[in-house]
Amino acid sequence: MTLKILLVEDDKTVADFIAKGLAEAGLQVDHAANGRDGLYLATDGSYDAIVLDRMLPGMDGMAVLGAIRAAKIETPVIILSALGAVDARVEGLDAGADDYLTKPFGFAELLARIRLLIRRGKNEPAPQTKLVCGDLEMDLLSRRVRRAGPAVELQPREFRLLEFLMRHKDQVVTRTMLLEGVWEYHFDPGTNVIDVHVSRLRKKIDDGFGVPLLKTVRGAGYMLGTAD
Amino acid sequence: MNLLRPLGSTTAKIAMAFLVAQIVAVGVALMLMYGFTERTITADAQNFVSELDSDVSDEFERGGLAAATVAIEDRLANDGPRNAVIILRAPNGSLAVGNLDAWPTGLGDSVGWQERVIRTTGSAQAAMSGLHTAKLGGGYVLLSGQILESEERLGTIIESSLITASLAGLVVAGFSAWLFAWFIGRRVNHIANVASEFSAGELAARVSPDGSGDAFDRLGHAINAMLERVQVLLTELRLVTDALAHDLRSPIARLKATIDRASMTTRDGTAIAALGSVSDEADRLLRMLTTALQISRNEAGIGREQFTRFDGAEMLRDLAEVYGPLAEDQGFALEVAVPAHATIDAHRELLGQSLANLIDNALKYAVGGSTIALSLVQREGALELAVADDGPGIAEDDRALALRRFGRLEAARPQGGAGLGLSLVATVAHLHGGTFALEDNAPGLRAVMRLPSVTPQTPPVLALPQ
Repeated sequence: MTLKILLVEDDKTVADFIAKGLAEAGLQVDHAANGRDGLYLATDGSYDAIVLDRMLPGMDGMAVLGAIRAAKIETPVIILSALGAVDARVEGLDAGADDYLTKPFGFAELLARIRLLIRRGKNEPAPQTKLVCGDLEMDLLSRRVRRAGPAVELQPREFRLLEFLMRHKDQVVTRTMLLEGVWEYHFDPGTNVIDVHVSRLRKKIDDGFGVPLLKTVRGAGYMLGTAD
Repeated sequence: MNLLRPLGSTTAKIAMAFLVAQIVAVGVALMLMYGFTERTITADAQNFVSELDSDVSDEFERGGLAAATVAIEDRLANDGPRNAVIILRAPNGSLAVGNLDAWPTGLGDSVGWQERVIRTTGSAQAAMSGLHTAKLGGGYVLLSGQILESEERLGTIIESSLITASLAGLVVAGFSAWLFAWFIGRRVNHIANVASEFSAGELAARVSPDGSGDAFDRLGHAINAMLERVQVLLTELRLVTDALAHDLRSPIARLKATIDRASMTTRDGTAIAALGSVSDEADRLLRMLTTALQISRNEAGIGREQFTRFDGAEMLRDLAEVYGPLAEDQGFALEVAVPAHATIDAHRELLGQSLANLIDNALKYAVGGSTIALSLVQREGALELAVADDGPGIAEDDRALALRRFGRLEAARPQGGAGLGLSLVATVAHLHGGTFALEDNAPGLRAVMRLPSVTPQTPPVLALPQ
């Protein structure tokens, strides 16, 4: 079944860019150019996710979000905002948003986050004790990792990083998502700190194996998976 | 109000002034009383003496020497405690009758009033006396007087009263100074507390008026008006920075969207490379813009409502973990020296960003160094968060420039930083009521954020319009 996304964005260039990208990624997109229309469409409740701009003509994005949540519509909402301040992020999440993305953003980042939200909404994470990706296995109880049998020795931070990637296998995970997901920090690391972590992890799990599992997705981030 | 504070304190000065005023007041009162009493006693003695004189003179005129002698002897016998001094001198100079053994040396025959020390017959000690002499007739001269013993006693009494009163005055002055300072201090402290609450981010803090209209009340109103104005300006600043952020970011968002789409569709290697560097420049521009706006917001004190309580030691350990591999790749050992726990009230993201900036700076500029040390020390009510390296450091004269907004040292130019990283750290420190300094790590640079270890009030919640 095709996933339906509601895009509420007044900036035409950005809206076209997102709509086109999402359509190319195989998602169905409805677009509303102002808050009132957005709210009207959202109350229908049939969307898998809502991408909501924060500053909108007519009705402010935060007000739309408030109204959606007040109407008990639990559709995952990702806020897009040109307000870069770190406070704005917390305010957005406090108001009931599921994620928050600061403009300008790379499309890959947005797509990765939308997919993450939809998946999170679909299957409530049952308590897992074992994560598997191809011939890579992670036992969460004994905290052991094996690739095609032999154990892979990982440092605690590498274990957490791999755990995050395995929980989101076959999804693109961006650098900021990794910093948030593994270390719970939302600042801009500035340099390629995350890349170094990933390349070390890659050495341990992929070196000497014919099929690499941890792939770099150009211009976006990383993906752990068996698909090409 | 503690009077034991250094003597230079205003309270101590007020107390001293009170004390001096009190002692002067008591002293003047006692002096006036002394003078008044003395005059009364002298007048009293003069009356007594002139009465004595006229009594004896009358007897002498009526019955001659014999009558006067009887009167004198009778008087001395019944004198009691009034201490009369009397002597009748015969024309030949011998003393006829009275209670003096000799005529006081050099005393004239008609003296109105003279005080001198004499000794009466039968008494052990000489005493101050008031004397009067008058010629009677037939060459007789009468000396009448009174021992002024009580007056001397009065002097002693006044003296001891003055000392006692001074001691009592000391206590009263101390107490009234304390009371006075307490009343003033209460009002002034209230105003001072409101001012510090306000600068700590409690923008709704106002001086409560007492409605008296006195100078303190008016000061309170003036302060309130000022705080009102500052609050309005802060709100405006917040709205302006938000609007500015939006207006500047939107074109960059469109730019990035266009670049993204272009690089997704083209297969031309040259174009992809060019688009890549345009995209990097757009990111750099955006980063500078974000940091510059964040600096303005920090300086305006916006963001204090986001303070949370967390473990600062854990944050440093996390950062060491995040940056460890990168540092290692660049040939640095990243060391952490922190206590097990260090509770801190701070803006988690901003503090994290600041420390990340400092580590980033050390990685970039500590060329030739081998160690970057992260540390957290709790000392004297301050929390010291430091990032130290053993690179070339920054010459003392250049440190101020390094902290200036858009200020870049020559050494930093090739690295292409915007010169905002350290300014951001400084304003984050200010936002937390702390300071930021670049110090000599001998060798190397030690960048230290000193934050108050415990915030005085629970982080206030600001209700600013969006």
